[in-house]
Amino acid sequence: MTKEMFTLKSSDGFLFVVDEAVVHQSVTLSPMVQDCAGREYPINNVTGKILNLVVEYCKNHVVVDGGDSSSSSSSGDALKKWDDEFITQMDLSTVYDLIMAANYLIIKGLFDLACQRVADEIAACKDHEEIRATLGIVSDYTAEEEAEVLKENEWAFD
Amino acid sequence: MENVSESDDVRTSIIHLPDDCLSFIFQRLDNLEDHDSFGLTCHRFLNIQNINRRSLQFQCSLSLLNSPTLSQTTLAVNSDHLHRLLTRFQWLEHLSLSGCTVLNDSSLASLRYPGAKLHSLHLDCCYGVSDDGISTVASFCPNLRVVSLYRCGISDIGLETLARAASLALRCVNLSYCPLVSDFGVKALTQACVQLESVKISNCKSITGVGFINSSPTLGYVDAESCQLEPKGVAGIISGGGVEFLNISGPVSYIGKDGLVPIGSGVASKLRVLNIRMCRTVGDESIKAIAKGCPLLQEWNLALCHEVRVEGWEAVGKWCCSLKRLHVNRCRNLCDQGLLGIRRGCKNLRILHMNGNARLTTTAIEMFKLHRGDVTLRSEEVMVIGPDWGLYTRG
Repeated sequence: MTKEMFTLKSSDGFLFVVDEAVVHQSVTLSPMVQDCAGREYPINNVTGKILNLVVEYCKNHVVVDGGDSSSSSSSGDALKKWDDEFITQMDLSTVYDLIMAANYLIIKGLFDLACQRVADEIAACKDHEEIRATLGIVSDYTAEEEAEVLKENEWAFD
Repeated sequence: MENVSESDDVRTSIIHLPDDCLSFIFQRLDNLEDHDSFGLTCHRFLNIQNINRRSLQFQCSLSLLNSPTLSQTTLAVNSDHLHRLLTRFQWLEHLSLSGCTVLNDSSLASLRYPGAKLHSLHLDCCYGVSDDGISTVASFCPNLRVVSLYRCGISDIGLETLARAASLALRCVNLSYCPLVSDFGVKALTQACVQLESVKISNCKSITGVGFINSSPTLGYVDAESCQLEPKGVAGIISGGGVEFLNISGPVSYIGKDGLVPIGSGVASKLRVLNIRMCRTVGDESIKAIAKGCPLLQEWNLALCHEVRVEGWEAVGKWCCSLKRLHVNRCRNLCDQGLLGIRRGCKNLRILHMNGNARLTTTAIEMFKLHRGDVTLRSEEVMVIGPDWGLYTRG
């Protein structure tokens, strides 16, 4: 069985040739398997830099034919290790771009991975001021507003 | 950061993410402290925090659950506190106001904010809440599935209003220690709420049980401890055919010897847990009927059922094949022959709670241990068996 190849074109004109197994990981792109073999498929809101990372992720997550997730826990561990290294080495700005790309292309594993990276970054901060500094957020709170929210937070339990 | 939109050098910031992505990130923060810090960074993040909050309670509710300690620092939640928090968290599904004794009927007007999204509401010990407040709940929250009104000032009128408003959604209701609720209120509840699964009406002195007649087959859990049940009422409680858990323990004056025979009529064939502790007048005919008519019975508490004699105990042994746990603490008329009947039967028995049985000899007990090494003997008397009303699930 010959492998079908597909060409994805990023917003800034870079071309990526990938096979069916990669395309199928994106719920958005999956339907194009029927139509677009051999033609270029434009992905207008993802740059080449980010699309490259998406393709890299998907290539590593191709499910082996006939295998299921229980095939071996060691390969599951290896994949997790790869995911961790993959996402940790990126700077946050790239992670945000990846989140938006994975959101648009609907690649759940990648989306979850990237969101978790940001969440971990937030959880590592000791308070809201450190979060602002780490994520580059400008506060729009007045001192009174902040005090009010702090007071309300003390009342509320989960 | 400058935002020159066309430039490729602008680095993406977290504020460029759409709200739904921010929500996903927020949902991955697993403790309240992180949630609060997130919300304090800027107003947009505060909004994300607010729309993602699903459950809210107060420190007084927690103290109520753990142990009533007199803590001076516990906030006395009033209408203003409630209003501020409910306008902030408008997507709540679970709200507990238990222990908020300062709240009154008009405080509940703030429930308009979570409104139809609210699925569970606890008002335990909200002494200031009466029928008017319950009407307010009914008008704003038609999708309530779980309602707890322990020691509230609700009467039949309030209960009927609530039952009609949330008739399709209501599943679990706690009305224990609501003395103003009678059979009429229960009837309104069981007739309106076709999905009703679990009802706790313990210590409601005005209830005989007849309000349960023709209740839905979905009703699987009834806790009617220390009510003034009558035989008709007991029959009514199980009339829907779906009861799996039944607690009618407590001093039941009007039941009489044969008052529980209806439980064995076949209608309660799904019964798995039965608590008749302290039903001192219940006799052998009732026990025989139940043993035969409830083949799925797994746990049965007969502590202090003094009128159960040899015939009754032998019936338990002979018919209760699914029984795993049996309580016979302080049964005055459990004698050696009765214990023998249990020993020879109840092949799935695992735990036997037994103590204070004056007529049992040590020999009989030792023989039991010898022949039934598979059964663990425990001396403690357990008053509460089975799951909590709010945790009951069918099957």
